[in-house]
Amino acid sequence: VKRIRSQSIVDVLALAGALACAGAGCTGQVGEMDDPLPSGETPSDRPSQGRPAPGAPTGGGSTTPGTTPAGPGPGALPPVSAGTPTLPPVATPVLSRLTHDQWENTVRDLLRLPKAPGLSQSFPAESNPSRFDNQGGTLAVDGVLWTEYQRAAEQLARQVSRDPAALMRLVPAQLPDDLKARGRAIAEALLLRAYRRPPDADELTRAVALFDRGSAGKTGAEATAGGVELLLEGVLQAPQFLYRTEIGRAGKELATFDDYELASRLSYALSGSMPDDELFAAARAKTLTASRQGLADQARRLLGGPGGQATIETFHHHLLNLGSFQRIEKDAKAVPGYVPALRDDMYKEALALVRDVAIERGQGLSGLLTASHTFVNARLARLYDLPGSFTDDKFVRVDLDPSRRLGLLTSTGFLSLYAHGLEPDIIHRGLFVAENLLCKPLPPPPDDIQVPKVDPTLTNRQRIEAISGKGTCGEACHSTFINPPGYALEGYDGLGRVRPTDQGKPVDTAGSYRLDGEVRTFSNAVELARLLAASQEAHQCYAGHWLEFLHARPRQESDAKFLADLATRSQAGRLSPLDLIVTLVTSDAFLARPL
Amino acid sequence: MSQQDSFVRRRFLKGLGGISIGLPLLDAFVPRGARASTAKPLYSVFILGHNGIAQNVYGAGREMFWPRTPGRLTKAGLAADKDRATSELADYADKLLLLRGIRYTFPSAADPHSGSSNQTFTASRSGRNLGGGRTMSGAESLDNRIARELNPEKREPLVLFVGAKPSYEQLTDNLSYRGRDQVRVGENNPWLAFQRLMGMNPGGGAAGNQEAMKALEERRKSVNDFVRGEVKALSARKELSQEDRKRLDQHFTSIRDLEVRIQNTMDPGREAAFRAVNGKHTSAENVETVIGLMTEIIALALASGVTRTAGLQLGSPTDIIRYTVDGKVQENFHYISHRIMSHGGSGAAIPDAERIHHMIDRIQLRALKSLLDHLDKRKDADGSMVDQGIYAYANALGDGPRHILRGIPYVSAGGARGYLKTGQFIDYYAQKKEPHNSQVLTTYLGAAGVRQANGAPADDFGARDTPRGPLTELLA
Repeated sequence: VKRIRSQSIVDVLALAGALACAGAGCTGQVGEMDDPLPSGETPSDRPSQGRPAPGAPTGGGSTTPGTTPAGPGPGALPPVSAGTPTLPPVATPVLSRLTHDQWENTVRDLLRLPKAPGLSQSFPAESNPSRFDNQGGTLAVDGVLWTEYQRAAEQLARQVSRDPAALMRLVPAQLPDDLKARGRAIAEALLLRAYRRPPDADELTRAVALFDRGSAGKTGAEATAGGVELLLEGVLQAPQFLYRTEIGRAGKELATFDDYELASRLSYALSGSMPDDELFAAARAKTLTASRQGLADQARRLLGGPGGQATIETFHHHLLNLGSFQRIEKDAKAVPGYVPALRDDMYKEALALVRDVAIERGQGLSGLLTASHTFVNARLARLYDLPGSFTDDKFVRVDLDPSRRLGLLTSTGFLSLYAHGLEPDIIHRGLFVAENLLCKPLPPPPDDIQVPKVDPTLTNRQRIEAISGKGTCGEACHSTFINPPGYALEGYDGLGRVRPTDQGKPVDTAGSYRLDGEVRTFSNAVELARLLAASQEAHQCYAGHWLEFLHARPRQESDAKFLADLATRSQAGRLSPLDLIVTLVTSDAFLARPL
Repeated sequence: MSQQDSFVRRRFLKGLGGISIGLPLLDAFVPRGARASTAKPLYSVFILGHNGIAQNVYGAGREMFWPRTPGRLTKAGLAADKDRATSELADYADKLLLLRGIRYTFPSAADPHSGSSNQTFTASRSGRNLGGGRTMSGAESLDNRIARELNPEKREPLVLFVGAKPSYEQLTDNLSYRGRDQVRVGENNPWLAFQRLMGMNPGGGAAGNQEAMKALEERRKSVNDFVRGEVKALSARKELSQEDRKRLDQHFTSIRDLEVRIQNTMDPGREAAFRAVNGKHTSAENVETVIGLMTEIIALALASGVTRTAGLQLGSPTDIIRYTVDGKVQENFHYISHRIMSHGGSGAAIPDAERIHHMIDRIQLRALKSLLDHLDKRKDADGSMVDQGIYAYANALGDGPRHILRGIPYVSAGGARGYLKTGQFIDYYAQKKEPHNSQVLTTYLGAAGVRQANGAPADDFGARDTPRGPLTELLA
């Protein structure tokens, strides 16, 4: 017995490889579809939220307001139906710096560019301590990043102000002839959209002064372009642009966000960018604070477009670690059947399934865990051992044998990612289920643990059991929370192929697991998937991840009751992802912060 | 003085090695007490490695790191221990201070990689737990303390990184912290780091053309005045927290009227060397090249007065760099440190893993040597820059297979102009003593020139419940 202080069990994902295995599993195919990602899109394009490039401006700043409804006033929240659980407001950052992805999207939409500028690629990498990379409450502007913002601002300002068409898209349609008045109109419209709220008088004065310096000594169009160039340089470096500001109107106990703040919160939650013109118009008309319905209508509008689809994809991209599929590395000699192209294939398969289940069918967690179909090309069809004819460049929908395969846990990408070469990685497969699907609060490993030497002729499961199972110091955590789901997945090798044996012995995929306070038994991965899909705990975890994603904050204890209600509805099939999102972005915690 | 004069007038500093840089005068905007000390500067650099070293402490592993004999170090003696990693530093034997057997004060709050490396240069317990075994640091790091006390205009320390930063690692940077949970991210592309230091961004392309330079200065001055106004206005909002104000203050102090630009500093051919690795800076075959370029940038930044302190992180907390040993790109370092093909406890054995680990230790110590070589070329009456600072390498863990949080190696060079004893190997492990790393870091803090109000060396680094004060036996 070697004495060690702390054997790492939660290290980086395991990616290297060993042996070969073959098996059978899937049958039939239905329908045909093209490559599930749009032409030219690669998986690495996917992590950030986005919506299509905006068209010609409708003039967010000059939208005619409709009838102004009477809102509930500072510190007061719109009423909810009797008996409906509420999500108590929790402390949220007043200032959140734009993440690099948000910066890209916001610059694109502010300047009405056809696509994101891509300049953040040279920004220093940000260390965002959240699963979804969207919590800006701890991000700051240091010397290096400021230099990069300056460089980007100068480049973008030059590019837009010297391109008449780009300039036309940016400035209001009707401009006064008088240069002074023109500068004011331009500054007012630009600041409204850049700061995501109407500027105050001092901000406007400073902005007009900057425009004036840029246009000094010039006339006509040249003066406008000169003023816009300098103004844009400044605005793109201003903290009011770089930070989302959510202060709210103070009441007795709460500060309720105003219409512009809510428009910004909603837009960054659902599209990762600034509000579009229609949302600005709603803010101006005060329909967002007037009733929850006004906010819900805007949320459904945004979700109904491509931006909503991108939101749902982005959420699952992070939750399911799909980005890591791109980094699956295996030694082709040790893992027969592996080719690097599989990384893209596996990513596309997973994303296609998310699109089909969560977006097309409006199903949430249950659908993702129990889908009995998937999308394959020829390379993936070989891994699934599917009969029929396939090509490498076409993905087709196929039905799988539901007694052998069910949902994302038995998909090739997930199983390949969590493997050491060809050998299944029991611990990390189990850890994924415990942490990502069940939100189990796992304590850190102890500082002093003893790892016995293990017999290399034992099966993978026996070796892990010997190191961390019953009777070892890992019993409390590994035996109870981590290993059992990994055992259930022992029937799939490091490329996701069915493997009936290990070390010449039939694989043992049976186990038991505590779900919803009761110990449940399963005989294989399919049964485990069904148990998870029916579990309140898993649905509550899924709803909690959505809360974390949309509210850009960690979950808190005070969220539990509300999440439990969502879980009950989701578990019963009465809450689609879209309804779940709308519920969360119209909740009290989205509308206010405590004082 | 006219407005124009106020931004055209600049002071030119001449650092060691004849490097001149133009620094903007920002007196009106620099908070009182934040300006550079007028005393002759001392320098510091901290290099952080991971996964432990190949040594024999607490009953496991072969000793392949430290010299055989504690006490006085000589070039001949170090070189004679050629099977030990520290022999890589033989050329600097009389400037070294090797400390074996240091411990952390706090146990790992999560995964040992995160739980250890967050302490290596902070001497603090962990901060926020991110789940999955990863934690942030609970307090600022040594480079941050030095920079905020000594750097001109409160400039940030320079922090660089070697290796890839896979997004699934969630938290790759862990050397430098501004404060609790506020990690400073290091640049891992030498070409970008070089460009930033040299002011070569496209917006700064006016260098060399005086008229264009002046126009650029005027333009940026107008924009910066505007941005400062916006920062001040936002900072005045009473609803902001202290933390929010701190972040805006950082934004404010980052604004410069003209990017620091280094003049006549380098052989023009060097630019090509940096450019050549752009885009290939995380490739396995370029690891040692990138280390060399990063240490070159650090030496340049110190010598030119841009910063007095810097950090260099070698790999992420679970370093998965594939180092080249014996001319062959090896398996990722974390597997090698475990001696098996796994990040966990079970996997096929890697033949010769302990020796490969030892060779990686040598590569990491060569990072320190590379830095010393660059600094040693810059000399004045007080000796080379090596003698005028403290340059330390530490590994986050004690050894590889067990990932222990004891026996932490601290290897430094430089006596800080007579502040430290040098030419010494102190084997605390053999002496059955275990100084805390807070004491080592406090010793380094004094060597870097941080002083109390009464002029005595600062003695307050690390968490309040760690042993504080320097290791007096290390002081000259």
